[in-house]
Amino acid sequence: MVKEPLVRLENISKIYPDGVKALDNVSLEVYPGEILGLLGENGAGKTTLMRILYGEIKPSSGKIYIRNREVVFHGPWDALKHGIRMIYQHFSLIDEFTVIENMHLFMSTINRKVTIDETRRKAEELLKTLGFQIPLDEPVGRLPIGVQQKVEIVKSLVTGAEVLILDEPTSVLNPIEIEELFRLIRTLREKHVSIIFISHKLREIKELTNRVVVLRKGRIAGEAETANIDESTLAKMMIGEELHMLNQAGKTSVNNRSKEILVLENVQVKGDKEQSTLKGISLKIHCGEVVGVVGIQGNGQKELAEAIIGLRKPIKGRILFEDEDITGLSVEERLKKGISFIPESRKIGLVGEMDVSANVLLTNHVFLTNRFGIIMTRELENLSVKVMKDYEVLAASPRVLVKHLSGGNQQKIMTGRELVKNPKLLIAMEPTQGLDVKSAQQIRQLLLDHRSKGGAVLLISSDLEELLLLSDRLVVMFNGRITAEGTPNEFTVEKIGLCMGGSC
Amino acid sequence: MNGKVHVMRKLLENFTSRKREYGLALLEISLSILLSLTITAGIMILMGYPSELSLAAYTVIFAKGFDNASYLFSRASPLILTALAFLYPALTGMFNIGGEGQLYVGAIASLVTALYTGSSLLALIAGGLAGAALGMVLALLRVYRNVNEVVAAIMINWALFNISMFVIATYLTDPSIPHLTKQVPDSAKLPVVDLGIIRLNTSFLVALASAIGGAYLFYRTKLGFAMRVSGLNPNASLIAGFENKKLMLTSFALGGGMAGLGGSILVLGIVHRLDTMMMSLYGYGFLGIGASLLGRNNPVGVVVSSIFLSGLLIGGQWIETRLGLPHQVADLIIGIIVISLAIPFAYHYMKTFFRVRRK
Repeated sequence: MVKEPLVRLENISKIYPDGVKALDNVSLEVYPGEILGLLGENGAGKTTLMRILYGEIKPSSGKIYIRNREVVFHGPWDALKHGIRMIYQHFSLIDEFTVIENMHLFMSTINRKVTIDETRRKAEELLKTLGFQIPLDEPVGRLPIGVQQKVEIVKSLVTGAEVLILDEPTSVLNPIEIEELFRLIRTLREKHVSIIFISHKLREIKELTNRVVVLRKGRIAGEAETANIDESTLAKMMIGEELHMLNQAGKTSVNNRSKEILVLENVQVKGDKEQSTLKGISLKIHCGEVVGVVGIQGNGQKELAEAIIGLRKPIKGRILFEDEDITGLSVEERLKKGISFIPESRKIGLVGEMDVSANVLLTNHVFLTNRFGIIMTRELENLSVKVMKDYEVLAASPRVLVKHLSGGNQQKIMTGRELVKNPKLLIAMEPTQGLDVKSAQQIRQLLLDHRSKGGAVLLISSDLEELLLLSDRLVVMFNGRITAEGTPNEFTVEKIGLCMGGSC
Repeated sequence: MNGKVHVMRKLLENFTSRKREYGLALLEISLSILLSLTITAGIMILMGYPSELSLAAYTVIFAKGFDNASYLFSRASPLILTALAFLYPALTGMFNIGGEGQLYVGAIASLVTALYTGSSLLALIAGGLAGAALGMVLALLRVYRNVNEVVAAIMINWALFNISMFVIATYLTDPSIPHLTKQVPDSAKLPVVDLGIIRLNTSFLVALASAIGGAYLFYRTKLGFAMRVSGLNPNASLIAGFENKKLMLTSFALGGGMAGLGGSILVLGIVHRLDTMMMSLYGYGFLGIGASLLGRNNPVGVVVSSIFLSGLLIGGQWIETRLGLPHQVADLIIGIIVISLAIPFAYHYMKTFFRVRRK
């Protein structure tokens, strides 16, 4: 069966002004009514390619054809006219507006004359054929993320989307919401909408798509009918080299007699939301142990970490560090005692406008200032050089501003500056977020090495594989409580999924 | 010795790795000065002055404005301090528009202390503390009652302008010269040091020391580092164990102290008495904001820019006597320089400022 492609990208290349080659001669076809998987690591060029198709970025060379006719996009408005819609990880919705107002806003950019009643009629009609409901008069900000995403999708369909690009749509969803999303995507396929599904999760690609294109370092690394290819082949295409295994030396089952370094006793902390308020957490962490915290974001993981480092004061309960009550101590005093923290985002942990050495100083100032509060510049210089060398931060000198470094190098600074002081307890939140596979493995190895040196690690991550790989013990958090606890072997993926969803 | 070499090397390294940034800054400043001179000439021609007169005016401004170093430096001293008053809170991510009011308070506190005690040191301290206390009020309002410091400062400036006039006219005037206050006693005047080539007013040394001290504080100590971090990324500051509220209070008190000190040295070292219309005080606080922007929010840059602006002001007075042009030409030049410099800078600055604050 030879079908005419709906969209054809031909020999697309993109070279950024700083000389980075994001895409190199990439060609791609999208057929009507198919689900095309676009697989690749972070930085492989998936998003860049799709932003070119969406008209947001101009390609350095190459052509775009729609129904075999060449088009030139000057901006997303041109792409919209041709039925192309893109949905980002961060939704383009206005929280204060109701669902229908958001839809109307979007519709009126395409057709100025449309009234809000017409929008409503169309939306209701569409929802009926899709077979689900969205509260149209609710402000978007009050809806769960999964529903907000549906609003985005419906918003695109109402305006007659023919090609729908979904950029890592599952990264913000819980397992149940993911199932629902997949069901919706399959329904759309039946309605002859072409879907481009961007992901780096093999299982999702395998489960959902008809055809998959793999990108690696800006080039096409492979293309196949999904049914004819297995996950391990896809993984090899994506990574290009065998995943080198972590050195698991020292990973043993928990020795109950090893020393407790941190004890939480019925800790209650006010959270950002009701769901993330800690409602009595009791937890023990031992020396030489990695404790992994599993859970969907916003179930109290952040509050837990911030309570331990001292950013949030518990309403009730005690925190003991090396048998000493530290509940009332300030962040600085806790840093001095050897508690160390890698926050969940580089935006929070780093000062982009400052150089590498100032960012090293940031969490090490208690060790790098004398008793008059004067910075010991030579020690700082040495430590900065050491962090850069030991943790392979690629920067010309410690004087380089952090905002000029890549995400991976920034993350290495954030991890390195904590590990370099050999903390007794390290709280690591999302330590490999946004990193390519190699850098992520490096950082995981560093955490394991730290553990085998006797350090304790509390690892909070949304990457389940990472948690299973690194943790000696797992705790599952749901709704501000610990709902399950055990070694990774005691858990199956299904069981973890259930506990994360609150049904265990 | 070794330590000194090390520091020098680091400074050099710092400079070479930021060569591009510094080069760009220099280019921007030169361009805006050039632009301003062109526009001012254009305005003068439009107003009917012969075109060669504007060239002559610039010759006089630059020749006469910068030829008497002793006078230039002493004129620049209060300006350096009011510029620092804007700079130090700015490094912590806040706007201190209140330099003007803090200057008045410092000047009056100094004058009163000098009249009663006759000690210049006590008068300096009183001026600095008075300014700091006023700065602190603004910061307290901001931190604990979430009152926008810019709005509060503008209102307080005007209230203080009138209160100060009232205080001067009612309590401090010299009975024999009713439009002037009593003079600072000789024992409290800041001395002039004769260095042979230049007669250096001690006020300039006070201003210079404040700038160097500030540079050291902000770039070499934990407190200053904490203040800068809290201005650039308040979240990162919390993680490092710094307390943003205290840092905001500290930096505002420091800024207010600088403006207060500016008022002090103006009274003790330069004018020695105030007039009931406060002509000798008015404007230094506002001009300080411009000087700080022109100095690229850098303590050393602020010293240079304050001297430069003072030179223009002095030169402006000369064109009036020499060429019969209005001295406002100098104000015009300064205004346009500051605007053309401030537009790109203020844009970036406000962008980060509001992004940080929105969270």
